[in-house]
Amino acid sequence: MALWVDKYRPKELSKLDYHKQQAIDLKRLCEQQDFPHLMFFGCSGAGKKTRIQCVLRELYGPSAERLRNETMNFTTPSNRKIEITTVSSNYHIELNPSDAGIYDRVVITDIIKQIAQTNIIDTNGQRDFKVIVLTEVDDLTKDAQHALRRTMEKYVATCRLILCVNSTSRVIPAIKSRCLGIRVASPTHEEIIGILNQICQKENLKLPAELARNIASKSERNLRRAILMLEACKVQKYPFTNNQDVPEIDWQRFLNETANQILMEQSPARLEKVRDRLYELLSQGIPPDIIFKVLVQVLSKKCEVEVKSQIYEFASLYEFRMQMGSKQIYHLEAFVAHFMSIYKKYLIQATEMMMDMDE
Amino acid sequence: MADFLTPEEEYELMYGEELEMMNDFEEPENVAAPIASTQKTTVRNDNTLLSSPALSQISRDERHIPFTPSNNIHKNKKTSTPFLEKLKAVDDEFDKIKSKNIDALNEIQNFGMKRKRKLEDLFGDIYDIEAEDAFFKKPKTEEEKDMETIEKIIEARKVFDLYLNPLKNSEFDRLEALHKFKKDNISKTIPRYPFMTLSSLDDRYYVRFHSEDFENKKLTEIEAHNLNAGKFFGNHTEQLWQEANQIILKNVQGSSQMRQLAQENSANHQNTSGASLWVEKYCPKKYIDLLSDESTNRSLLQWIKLWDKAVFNREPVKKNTKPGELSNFNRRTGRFEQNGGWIKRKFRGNMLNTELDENGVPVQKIALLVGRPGLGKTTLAHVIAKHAGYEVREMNASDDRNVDSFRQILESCTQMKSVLNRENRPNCIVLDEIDGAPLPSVEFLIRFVSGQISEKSKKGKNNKKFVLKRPIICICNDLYGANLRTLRQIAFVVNFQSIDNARLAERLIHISYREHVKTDMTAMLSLAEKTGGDIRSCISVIQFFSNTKKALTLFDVLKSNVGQKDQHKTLFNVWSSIFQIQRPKKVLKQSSNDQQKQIIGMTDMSIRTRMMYVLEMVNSCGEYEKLGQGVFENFLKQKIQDTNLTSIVEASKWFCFNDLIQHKINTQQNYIIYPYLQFAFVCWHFCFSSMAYPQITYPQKQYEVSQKISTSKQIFECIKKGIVSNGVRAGHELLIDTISLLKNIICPEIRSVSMHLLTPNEKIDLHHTVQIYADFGVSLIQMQAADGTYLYRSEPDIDHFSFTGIPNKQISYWSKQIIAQEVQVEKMRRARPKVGIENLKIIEEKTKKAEKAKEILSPTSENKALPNHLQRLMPIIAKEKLLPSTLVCKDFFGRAMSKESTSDNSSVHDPFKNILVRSPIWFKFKEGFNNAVRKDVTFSDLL
Repeated sequence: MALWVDKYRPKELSKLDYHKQQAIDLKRLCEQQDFPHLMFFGCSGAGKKTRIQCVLRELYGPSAERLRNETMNFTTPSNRKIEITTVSSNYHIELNPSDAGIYDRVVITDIIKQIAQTNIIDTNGQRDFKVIVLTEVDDLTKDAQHALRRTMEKYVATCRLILCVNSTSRVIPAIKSRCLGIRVASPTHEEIIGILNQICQKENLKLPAELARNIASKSERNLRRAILMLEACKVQKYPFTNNQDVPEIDWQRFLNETANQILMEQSPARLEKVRDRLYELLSQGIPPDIIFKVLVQVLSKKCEVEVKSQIYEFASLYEFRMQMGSKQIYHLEAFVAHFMSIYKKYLIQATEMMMDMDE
Repeated sequence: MADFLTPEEEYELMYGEELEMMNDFEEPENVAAPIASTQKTTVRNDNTLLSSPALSQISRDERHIPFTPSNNIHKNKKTSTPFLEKLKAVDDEFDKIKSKNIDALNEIQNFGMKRKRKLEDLFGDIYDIEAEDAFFKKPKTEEEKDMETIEKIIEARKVFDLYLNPLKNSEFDRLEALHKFKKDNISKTIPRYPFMTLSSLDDRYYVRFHSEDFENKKLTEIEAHNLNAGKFFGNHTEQLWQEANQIILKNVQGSSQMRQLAQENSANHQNTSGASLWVEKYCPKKYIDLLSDESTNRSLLQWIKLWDKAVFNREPVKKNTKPGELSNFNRRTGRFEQNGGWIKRKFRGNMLNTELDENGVPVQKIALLVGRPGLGKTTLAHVIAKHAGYEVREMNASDDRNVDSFRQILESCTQMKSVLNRENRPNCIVLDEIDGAPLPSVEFLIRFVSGQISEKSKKGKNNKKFVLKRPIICICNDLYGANLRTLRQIAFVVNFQSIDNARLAERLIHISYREHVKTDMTAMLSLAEKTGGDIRSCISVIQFFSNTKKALTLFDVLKSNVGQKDQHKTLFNVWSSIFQIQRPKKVLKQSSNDQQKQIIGMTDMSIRTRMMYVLEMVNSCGEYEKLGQGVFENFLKQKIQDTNLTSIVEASKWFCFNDLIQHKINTQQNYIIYPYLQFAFVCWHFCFSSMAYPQITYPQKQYEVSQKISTSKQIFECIKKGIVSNGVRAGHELLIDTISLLKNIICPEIRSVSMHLLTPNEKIDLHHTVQIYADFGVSLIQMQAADGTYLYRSEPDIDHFSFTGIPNKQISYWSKQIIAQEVQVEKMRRARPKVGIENLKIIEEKTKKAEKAKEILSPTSENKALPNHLQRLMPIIAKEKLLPSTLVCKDFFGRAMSKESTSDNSSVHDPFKNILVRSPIWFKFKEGFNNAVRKDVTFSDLL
């Protein structure tokens, strides 16, 4: 736990830095005998898993922090052997069913049921149920989600589920209604700056306010990113200076450059270059929806208001199609091509207008 | 037909002479001056009714006139008479018959009356044939003959009734006249009238010459009769006459070629009407005749010649072929040309391994011929094998092909000689259609060839290794079939290219010339194109058309459905048809004014035709996904003339559409929407096609990217699994956020000085970095780069996640070296066995203390407190490295022994040695830790 992100992660609900009211509520919830299924949702880097971990500690005490990695094997109906890694303590197990790809339904039906069917043997524990933490539930296929909803009801006597979700929009309503949703909003810039300062204090570093603000804005309210950036800054150059370069996340930088290329020239040749760059991003394993989102953000930021509404309109269309399809590069490129077309038309119009004005 | 005479003919031959003699007696001959008219085709009067005179008249004549010596006629025809003469003769004959028939009839009737009673007794009313009957009966009286005759007559009458019902009387008259005429004018013995000799192979006929006066007289007679002859030819005499003339004229125009044709036709007809296919007939018999690509032929020949040493015990001719020589091959002419090959073509196909192994056998023991059907693979194999002096033993799909029968065939062919074969040639095995053979059989073949099957000898001499000494040629259509995977690797693969259309057409023209099928080059070219270079189907089409006795024209070729089999178009063909506008092509079209009539026209460039063409091409290939991928990777390279990129946007939409449909199909197996996939190709065609030849590359991007994605995934999985620390979370965010920043974090700049000289801050940095490495389970591994320099790479490779144009922060080799060392140490420290939680904590505290204070610690007290079974062996070296300045050694039972040592890392082995030296006996547990009860054991106890 050498990375600051992990090192300075709060372990108890009472030590959380922001959303303090929520922390109090969670604490009360844990004290009650009646503990519902929970669904934490919010952007990445907002502190969902930290809170989950805190809740577990609240429920089971410090021994819930004693974790071990395990791999579980299972066989799909088509006789393929798949293994997924789980992190578990004596009281809970955490797994990411979407690791199994299209076989996630099997994970839900086999593994989770198997876990849920057994009771906790340890009688010393304060609780008579165990907890299954499922991460990235929104990436589950619909089948798997439907498989999950019955499991949630059937084994409620022996286990509770805590789901960790980025966006609830991709979770089926049936699951949403079975859980107590807890929104973990991203920390504000001020909160991030506060946390950065705390860390620096503990590490005996001096953090200039300017740099802290820079990091906070670069991190896009993602606390994990902010702390990692701080650490990277420290490695890069220690006595901090005010206008120090904050290391960027490289794929984002790459996407920014790609967007600049799109804005600079609109031609088939350029489109082909952009395609290569998109391929590169995909081949590094960056999820296509994130590529899409960031690309749209960057492009719309840099182009004129007249085009923006159009961009959002067809961007949503292509993004939707991308979710429906399987070859993301087609959809990404279709979006880029469409953008190029619209932008070029706009530029031509604008120059004509200019010419008219001059005359 | 020529060999077996019908009974009638036989009879005629036997008694014809007597009959003629009789006739000669009865009728005083008309001796006239000989004129230049040969009357040999006596039955040509029939010609007018038949459209094609040369071929079908014979049979018809026979049917009509049982007693006509059609034999003669047939033979006469064979003799070569100038056609014009023949023509005249036909004219003449026609006239004469008409004129004579009435007289002749009367005569015959009278003649027959004498015998009437007797016949009536036998058959009842047979009036209409009794005249003929009378002839037969006259020379002999045997009962058998009578009976025979009766049967024949009945048959004949049936035929008569069938064919000539309306013209019964007149036909009868005509026949009589004919007979009479023949009696008068043709003889087998030397007649008394002036004659001309006609000779065939074994017979000699004498045909009477008439004087011109006589002819004229007969002609006038005909004219006179014409008035009465209405009933003979019906009312169509005039018409018939004209038709006859027309046909004759046509025939004249047919000129000498036609005559030759007719002659050979009659000869060929007997051969080809039987079972033999032209494909067989015109199958190349010699190497020279081969139609396939010369380079293909040569490579196979070269291979088979390599066997000469093993089979014929003669050295193969080592030819130093210049590389340029082969490249001068001109595909169009099918020859190697001295100067024609201005395009330096690379010799395609894998080069033949010309080396022989220790047994004098080529390394590649099997040749595998690959190509589409109808390119002549089997033919080539046979021809080459014969050419090289082998006896071909073929085994194809029709044979049983399990392992046993394979073994049988292979063994019998390779180890035995054919006794019956006179020429005593060695066998060459041709395994046709090997792609249909079951996998075990193919595997057996491979084992057999590679000599892994020991000979089954009864005396148990299994040690003798079998060496294949005969060439084996395998033939298949699909090289990439599942069962050929291993064979493909060991065999010499000869790929067949499709034959050049022009060459094929040339050969087809040749064949049709030989078979007297009238055709032309354009038709043949379009036929070759239509069948896609399939020789077999081309020839079959020609043979099929030859039966219609008409010229094979372009029209026929285009109209026919033959040869239009399900052709598998290659991907590149389809792609080029998408990116290129098809040039106009000859096709059949419904003519606009007449719905029934079809005309040969050119395809227009209309949207509809282009669309249909693209659809057809795409359908013929069928691999939509691959095709779409190809279009996707090539369409941006095409020359597109639109400024606003609208066509690209349009095309992109279709890509999305196709992807959606494909995804639906793949996930739901919903093939009902499958047909919609093809229409995207039409759109892309309209967006990007041009007349220019497109540059198309094979789509590899998708594959490359998927490979890269899978390696990224693997690395990512490795990192995830390697994470040892509890705090670190593994998920998407690890990839998205952590790793890219981690790369910046784990590269602190460390001065290139000794560890001791580092400042405390640097030491903290280093320690921090090492901790991170250890947390993530990442280690640095020394590698040798291609240029010989050493470098460190992280394992798993975190640097894999980097983008072009965005530099990774790099640290010096020295820093990496230090980090690598420290990471190793840290890992060992962490891998230390956990002696219960408490113990672990104590040790941790202890090590921390040790690091800080550099004190000598004695963990004895803690260890003593442990019960015996909880004690574990401590890795000595790890401790050693951990505490470089102090040395905490333990003896075998965990009691600590402290000793000052040099604070050098290099003296790792010293304490070990010391331990060994100090204790007289030591044990080493190889299998890790053992919790069994331990106690002191001395050797005296054991002894």
